[in-house]
Amino acid sequence: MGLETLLLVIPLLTLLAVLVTPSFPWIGRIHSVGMLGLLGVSVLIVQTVLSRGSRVAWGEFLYVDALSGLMILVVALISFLVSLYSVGYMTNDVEEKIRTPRKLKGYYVLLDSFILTMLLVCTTNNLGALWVAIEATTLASALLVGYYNKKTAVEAAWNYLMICAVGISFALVGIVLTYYSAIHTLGHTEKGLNWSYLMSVATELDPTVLKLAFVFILIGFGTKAGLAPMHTWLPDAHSEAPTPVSALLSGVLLKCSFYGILRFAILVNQSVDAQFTSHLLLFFGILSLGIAAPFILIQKNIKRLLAYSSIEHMGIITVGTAFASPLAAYAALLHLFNHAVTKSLLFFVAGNLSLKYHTKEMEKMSGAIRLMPVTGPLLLVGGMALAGLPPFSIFVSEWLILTAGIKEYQWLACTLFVLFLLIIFGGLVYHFSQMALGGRPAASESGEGLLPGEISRSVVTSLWVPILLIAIMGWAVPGPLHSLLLEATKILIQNASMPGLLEEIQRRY
Amino acid sequence: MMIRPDLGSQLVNLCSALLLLTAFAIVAQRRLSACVDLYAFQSFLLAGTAALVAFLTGMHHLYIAAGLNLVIKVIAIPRVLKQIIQRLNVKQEIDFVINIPPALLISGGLVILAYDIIEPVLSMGFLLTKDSLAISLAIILVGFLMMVARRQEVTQVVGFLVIENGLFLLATAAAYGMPLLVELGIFFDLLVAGLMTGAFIHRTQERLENQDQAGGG
Repeated sequence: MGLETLLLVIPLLTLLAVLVTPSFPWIGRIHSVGMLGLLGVSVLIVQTVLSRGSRVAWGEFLYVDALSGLMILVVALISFLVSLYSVGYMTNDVEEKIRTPRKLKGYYVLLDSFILTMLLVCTTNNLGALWVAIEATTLASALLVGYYNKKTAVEAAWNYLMICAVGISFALVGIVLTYYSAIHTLGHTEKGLNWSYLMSVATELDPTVLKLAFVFILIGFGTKAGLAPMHTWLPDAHSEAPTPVSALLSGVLLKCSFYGILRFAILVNQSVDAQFTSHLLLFFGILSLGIAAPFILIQKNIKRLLAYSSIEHMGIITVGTAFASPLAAYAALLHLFNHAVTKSLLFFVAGNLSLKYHTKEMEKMSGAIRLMPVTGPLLLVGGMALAGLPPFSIFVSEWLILTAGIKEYQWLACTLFVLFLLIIFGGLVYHFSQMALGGRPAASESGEGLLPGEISRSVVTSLWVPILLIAIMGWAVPGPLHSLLLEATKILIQNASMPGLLEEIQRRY
Repeated sequence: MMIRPDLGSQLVNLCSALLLLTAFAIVAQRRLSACVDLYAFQSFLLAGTAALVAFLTGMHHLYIAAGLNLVIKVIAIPRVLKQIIQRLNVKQEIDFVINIPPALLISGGLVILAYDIIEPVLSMGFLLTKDSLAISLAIILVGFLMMVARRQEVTQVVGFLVIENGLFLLATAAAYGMPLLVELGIFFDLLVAGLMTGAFIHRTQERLENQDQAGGG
């Protein structure tokens, strides 16, 4: 069996294993083992892609190159972390005590289908299938958003479905138009929607049609990637979902949709001047930053704060892509990885806090550092990392994007970029230091004060992996990941001169 | 039997124009059940158009899509929607955010916009379905307007279904249908509509329960 097949089969096998497990605590553990296997396979795939180049499977239906390899790695890594965190969290849930194995199995069924659809997004070669897979992620994740069946959760799921379904319809218009231009030059062919095939004939495709198609794709997939002004569904959906799922939504799903945009941008850049995609991306990226900034300042609910920060970071990645130099592309992909890890950590921390304080209001969560010996300090450290304080990983990628922008003489964009990042930095530092260092909250209304201590061992252990990654990546990108990012950059910016880029990145560190 | 190409092209155009007209009629409706009926009619026309294009071009996989269209969108979905409307006592009068006359005016504007958008890429289309391209985009935009301009959930679902019909026509017109796999994928959209309806039922029931409690207390 090929590695790609194995990658897609593992979530299904895990699903089966979870379904037949009768005993309560083992359900989550078995799932985590499955996800660890998934992570292993994804590492193997990355390794073979790096040593032997891109791979196809299932008769060109699946296509894996360094860019998809990076995405697969991120999906598998965050899925594993989320699964690990779910073990403790889902059985300790504040929203609703989940005491029956059946309800818990329902959660894992949805989670696994969600992960499977995301893996399909990253591995498929067929642009039509890419669309179907992204649509399928909406279906699976909307059910997860509405998992608690509360009024607010169902409301959020409704908005999520409505806005994303319409958005994604626009993306389909773009895909149909791409196919339209393909059959015009190549005639009817089964391969007419395969990305690898389209790339080989890209210069013959009609530029006018491709431009039009890209606008539709950007609006469509951009809606699902959380780019402003189509982001309105995001804060509700991400804050109403069960916390482990929020980490997947913010950390990975947004990027899967952005991956769709990237694939098209690469294709369109072959036949149209790269300025075209670059300007459009820059507009949406800066706008996302600008819209996220004020909302981050005034936020009261911790999960909504993190959701708005995801809009900000999608904006940063988009701006990085828009600068369109090899350095900027490398930095954007690095940021994609860094944000996924950091945001997962913070959602886990937020989950622990809300288990402890029985609220999501940040005002009522003060003094965490004295109450919770691990979660408290990690809240502070993770918060600073998310805000972009050195020496953490997010600072590095943001800095690289900024220097790349300056080198491209994008003065206006760079000024706005720095301005918004500073505002957001202030907001995040304020919120997180209040929560971590503020005075201990008065006794709750029921009269009993909060006792110091963590919720359980298992919800704490899953915090260590991401914080370790954040620290390491702030210092230097590990060798294999670095070469993966370089290869992915080569795909993003075709004909990029690599020796120069290598030197440049080493100098920046 | 052979049909002269220009006659075939005119037939396809006629069908597409009728589809757009139905979309307008849906916007102009005051009663919910009439909206659903018109949607069924539009889907029927769409299945007819797809079958016609399949016949004229010999793209046989379009027959499959047309058949699925007939079964799912003409028969199944309208029936389910009507049952829901009846069972949940959804009120028949539609709530407007934008009233009918301005909504129709905007729809007219959207048609012009659609022609404007599609115009630069028209030259490379197939002769047979060239004019349907802009019309299909217009239907998508009008469906979008429906979702924005109507307050009730069921009407918004109908708006989404109209968008989906527009997409189907676009795929038929631009490429004589997508590869079968993708064509089936488009039906996936209908699952989303189903899920929306599910969420809607849930919401309505909750609302009813709240009313009961308020009445009892």
